[in-house]
Amino acid sequence: MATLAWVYFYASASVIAVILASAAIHKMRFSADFLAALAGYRLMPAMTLKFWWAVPAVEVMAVIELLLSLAQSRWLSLALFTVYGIAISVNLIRGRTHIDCGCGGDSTPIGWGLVLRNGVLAGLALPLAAPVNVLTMSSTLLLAATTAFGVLSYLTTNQLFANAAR
Amino acid sequence: MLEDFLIASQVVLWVAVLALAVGVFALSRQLARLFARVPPAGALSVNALLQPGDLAPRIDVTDIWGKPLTVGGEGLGQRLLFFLSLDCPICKSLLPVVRAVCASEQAELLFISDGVEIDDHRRFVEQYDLSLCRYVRSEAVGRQYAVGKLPYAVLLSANGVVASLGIVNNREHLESLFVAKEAGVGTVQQYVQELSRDAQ
Repeated sequence: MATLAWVYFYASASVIAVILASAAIHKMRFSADFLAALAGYRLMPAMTLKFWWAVPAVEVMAVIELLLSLAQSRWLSLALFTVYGIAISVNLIRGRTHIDCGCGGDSTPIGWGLVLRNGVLAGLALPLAAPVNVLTMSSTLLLAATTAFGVLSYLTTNQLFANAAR
Repeated sequence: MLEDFLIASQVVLWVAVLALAVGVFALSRQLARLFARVPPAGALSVNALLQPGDLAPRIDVTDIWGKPLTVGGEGLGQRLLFFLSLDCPICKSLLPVVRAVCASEQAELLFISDGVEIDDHRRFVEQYDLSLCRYVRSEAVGRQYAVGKLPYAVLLSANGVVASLGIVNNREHLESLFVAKEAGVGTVQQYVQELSRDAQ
């Protein structure tokens, strides 16, 4: 099972890194959309909204944390997914189910499915002991395929949530 | 070492298969909802005089070759009245479709047109090879069936009742007239109304 542990360890980190990096890029490129979504959550006082760039900045830092520690430290990612999940849950409990989740891509209203999705992502970001090194050609290919599968599954899930709301 | 790799690969593949199965199931659900939302296409029924279910006006006319003919009335079998004009390009492009649909639905096809010289109509019939169908040039028929826009089609059932009617711009519209007759729903508007009532 050493290979499985090794593949999971690096694939989970890679998937998180890709998701967070693309989320950060998306938030900075479409800052108006993100700002509107952030305001919709009604969790921050209006005057602090001008510090919206702190969110993508933390996402970039989380990616850097993953890269520099070679996937061994994932605390920022775990914190981000947890905070996002809580932010969505709070608004769902408030009954504000119509607001846009600000996930990027097609606009998606928040829902418990997104909370579940964030729970899965937070699960991937749980800290793990570094695995025994089994770096070979075949294990690297398996890692690449697993990462691609993870990222594509994430995109599919998001698209399904966006479609379901139409 | 190889065995370890195979186990890892197998686990990853099983996870992938299950995730894909869930994804495909979710997609199929969304597809089903999409189908429910695509509105049906049918002939738009605009008619101030006639409603589906009304008795069709009985009119005696002569066709362009001078033979007497009765439009409407009982005991004539299922009939499709196709209203056209010689200067209407869509009407011309629909001719093969009308003939094919009528043949497959076993409806007698009757062309009704008006205006211009009768020789022009005769040439038209020869040009488009319609000599096996009846062809009438009569303004009275168009007026009594309240045909405003062309191409227009009226489906008469065997007992002389208007089964369905409407503007037909393509094969789908034309077929909807026969479907409407079989389903007992007169117009596409009525069908859409019933759909939205069911949905509520």
